[in-house]
Amino acid sequence: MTIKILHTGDLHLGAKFTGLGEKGKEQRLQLLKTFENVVNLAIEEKVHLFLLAGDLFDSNYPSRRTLDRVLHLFGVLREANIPVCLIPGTHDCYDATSIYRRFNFQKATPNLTIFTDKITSKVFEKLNLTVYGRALTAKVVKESPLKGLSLQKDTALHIAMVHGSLEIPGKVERDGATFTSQEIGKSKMNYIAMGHWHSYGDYSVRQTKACYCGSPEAIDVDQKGSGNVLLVTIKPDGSVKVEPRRVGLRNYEVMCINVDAITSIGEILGAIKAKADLNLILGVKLQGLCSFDLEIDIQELEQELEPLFFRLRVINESHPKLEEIATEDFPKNMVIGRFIRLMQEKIKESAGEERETAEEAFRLGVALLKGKEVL
Amino acid sequence: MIIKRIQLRRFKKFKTLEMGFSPGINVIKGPNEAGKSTLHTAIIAGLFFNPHHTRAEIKGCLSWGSDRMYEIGMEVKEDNSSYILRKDFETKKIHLSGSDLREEIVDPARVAGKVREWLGLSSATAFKSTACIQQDKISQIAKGEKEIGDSLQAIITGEDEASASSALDKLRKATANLTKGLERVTRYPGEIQRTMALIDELNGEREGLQQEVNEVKNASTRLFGVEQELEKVVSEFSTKVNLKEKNEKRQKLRKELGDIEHRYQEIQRAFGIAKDIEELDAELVPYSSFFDIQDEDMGAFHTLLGNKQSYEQTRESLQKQLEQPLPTPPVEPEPEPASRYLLIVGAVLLVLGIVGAFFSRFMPILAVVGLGLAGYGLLKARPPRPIDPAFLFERMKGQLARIETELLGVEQNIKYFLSRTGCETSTACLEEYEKYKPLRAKKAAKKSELTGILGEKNLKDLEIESRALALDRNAKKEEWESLESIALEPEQFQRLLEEIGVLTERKERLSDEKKELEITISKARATPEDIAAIEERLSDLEQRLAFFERRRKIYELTFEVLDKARKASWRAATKVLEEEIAKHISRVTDGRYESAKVDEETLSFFVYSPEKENYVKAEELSRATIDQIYLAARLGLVRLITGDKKSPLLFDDPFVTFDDKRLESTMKMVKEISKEYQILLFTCENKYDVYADKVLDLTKIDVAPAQTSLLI
Repeated sequence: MTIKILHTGDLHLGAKFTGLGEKGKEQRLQLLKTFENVVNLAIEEKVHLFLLAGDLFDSNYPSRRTLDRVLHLFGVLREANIPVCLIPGTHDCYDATSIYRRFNFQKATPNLTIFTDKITSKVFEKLNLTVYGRALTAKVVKESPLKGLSLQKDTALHIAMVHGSLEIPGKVERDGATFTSQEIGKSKMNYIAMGHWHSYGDYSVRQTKACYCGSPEAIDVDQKGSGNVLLVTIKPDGSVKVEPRRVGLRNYEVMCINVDAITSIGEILGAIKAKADLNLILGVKLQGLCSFDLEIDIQELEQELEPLFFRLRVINESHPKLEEIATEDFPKNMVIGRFIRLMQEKIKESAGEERETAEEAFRLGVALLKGKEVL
Repeated sequence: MIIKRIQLRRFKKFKTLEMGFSPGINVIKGPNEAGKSTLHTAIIAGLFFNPHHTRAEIKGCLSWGSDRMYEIGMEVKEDNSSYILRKDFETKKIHLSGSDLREEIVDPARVAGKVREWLGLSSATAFKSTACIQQDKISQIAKGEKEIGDSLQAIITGEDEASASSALDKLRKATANLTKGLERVTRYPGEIQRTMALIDELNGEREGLQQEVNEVKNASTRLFGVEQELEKVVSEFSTKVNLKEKNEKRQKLRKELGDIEHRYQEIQRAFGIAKDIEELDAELVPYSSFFDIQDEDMGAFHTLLGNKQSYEQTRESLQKQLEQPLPTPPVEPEPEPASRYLLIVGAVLLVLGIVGAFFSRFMPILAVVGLGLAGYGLLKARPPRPIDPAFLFERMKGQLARIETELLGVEQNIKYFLSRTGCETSTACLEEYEKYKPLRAKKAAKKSELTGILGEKNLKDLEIESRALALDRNAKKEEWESLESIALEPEQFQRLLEEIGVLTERKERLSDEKKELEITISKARATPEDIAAIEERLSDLEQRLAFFERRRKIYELTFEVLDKARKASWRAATKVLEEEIAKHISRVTDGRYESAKVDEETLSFFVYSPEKENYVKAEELSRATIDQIYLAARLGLVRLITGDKKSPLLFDDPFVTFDDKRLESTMKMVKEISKEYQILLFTCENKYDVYADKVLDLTKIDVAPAQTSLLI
């Protein structure tokens, strides 16, 4: 019998989105909607098993509203006869006061198996399959979360669930819970459903297919592989096929605009407008050296363009081209001449934020002395 | 520096133009649209425009109808050296040659540097704001529309339309818009205060929510602990209660077994009694005739026997008496004489007593004694009469007859009773009954004892019960024995009860706490997500605050440096202005004023009036005087800005509104200035001709180049 599994995790329900301001609440609701979409997808795809590879909740203290919604969705899966396997993650770890200890999920949703420090395997006889998993008992654990998850049951197929970081020498070496490729290779599992990283990634070793599912809805920037769940198909011969399926609604993107050659605000507006998408959370960084006379008001930019995006933040990291001001052009006995010379000294003496302030003050003072309406 | 010649090609309205200038005053005249402004602009472009730039200002000078850019050539003299400066804006080329230059300079920056050396100014803006004196500026001063100080401020600032003061004002306002309300409470606070207030408000809200959420978290955690503890306590309680119940069961079993044993024994005893009764029944068979004889019957029998005996004795006595002869009838006795006396004495005493009572209270006693004596006397006076013997004889015969009848009845009853008992004699009857009586009593006692055991049951029932009891006893005994392992000594059992009491109390306390915690949790309105929402808003506001704080820093720094620059510039200007004005004041006021003082803060100036013996505001002077002083001040600023350089001064019809007298007076001063500075005075009038060193009429100029071309 070919088995179909939906592998998801890292939903971080109830997460805080400090970068989204008042839109944070909407995005939090979206996480729940996306979870609902994932559940519906599992039903549509008639999967045999639903795997949650950790960090279902962003903390061990989800709101009652979130908890009720999750229970409802587990109930929907139960009605569709889809069993659910869950491992606590780092955010909702199985510590002394874990939500999985405090709340009796099994009573509310009998189709749910929560792997703990004691319950580490579950046999699905009809599927001839055993699922293994072990909860993290703290946010940071020394032992590999894969430790002890060896084949123990007499079934044809074996799946492990793990929440942690795969050690990649020189890249990922220290994290709350780490495991190695060697452990994956030696596990003899047919599939390892991994959670913790928010982007999809295939880290299979030899016969063992091992994938991070990524967050179904992006939680933060730099998570380009997020927004997916994995549809895993295991054939009777043990071969595994993994298909990422897009479910996320919103995307994060950081856009860098080099202002070196930009001569008007219109060019910046145009470049940002080209990205217009109501489900895009866009961060724009203005970089490089901009014309001394080009006044960039990021507040104005944001106000004008915000309606085109779910959220827009513009950060001006550019610096004015100070060399455009030829000091000699301004006699030193004139106020502007003195101002320019004094500011140039100040800029020369300062560094970092102080220098940036001095540069802005330089630009502002010159503009004011030239009679520009900049205030 | 002196501009000797200028040559133009395709510059605005001039397809070509060449013009030569002399030192001193050059009056360039022509009606409107003759090209005065174009020439003015051309001189500035020739000196300062960079052919490599593409600014609108540069493009705007293109000749009308031409698509090719213009060329400008200038010949200038500086420190006895002549230079030719050529600029081709079409080919973007620049050349500077000069008598003291070894080679042509083609680098725009170097050329600009050379121009700066000549003029002390290197930008068109600076040149325009210092060396170019506009008609409207003089006009505003002349008409009193603008104070000299304001005009000078703009010049010293370096730009045409802006002054440092106005820039500082804008910065002050912008800073105030940000910082208002930070130092003292205001109705309309600035952005920073407003944002901080919002942040404070949200922080307060967050703290409240956080407290509530923490309470719920703590309650939730505690609830988990309580539930676990409760589970443990319930389990322990259950175990102990179970042990208690088993021990109680054992105790109950023991009692039941005792009861069963007791009942069993009783039943066995009943069977024994029943057997005794059977034996007694056998013994009682000979006395069967007595079975219906009761003790009362026997009592009655005894009474009959007694009566019989009594009657027989009475009969015998009467018979004996009747057999005796009758006695003589007795004599009736006399009354005793003493008794009569007593009666009489008593009566007398009574009468005396009654009568005497009227006289003495003791006399009634006498009456009472009398009454007593009279009574006694009366009794003794009449003795009983003796009975007649015949009467007695008859009476005894009647008695005998009655006794005989009674005796007969008694004997019949005795006979009847004896017949009931089957006894022949009374004696036998009495003896038999005495034998029967204890046996009957014994049986009755046994029966009573048996009835007490049987109740409403019978012996058969007891047999069944006995069998059931035996079975029950065995079962209970077995159960009792099975509980032997958990059997507790009384002290242990007491301790167990105490422990159960403690556990019950603990269980109740935990249950109560659990309920309370559940209520706290269920009542809570705040959720961690509410806090998240506030923190998200706070993050935005904090970024906003940081933005405003940064703006504030920028504004404050700009203000600080600009103010420093302004003060330094104005301080320097003040000195120069005072010197320059002092040079001219006496002459232009015919000695009325001698010295001047300039305010460093406003650049307003005051002149010393010997008449008033005090400084007076310059605005109090006559218009003509003010014009000249303004010119002097302008010149002073040119000196200040250009140093020892002598830039040509471009006057754009500055005295157009002056009457002849004011003009003459002013032009005298201009003439003085022209000794040091070349003056190019653009006008549409002829009235300056008399003061000119050279007059150039734009309407009469030969546009064809007369000398060597200055162009590339």
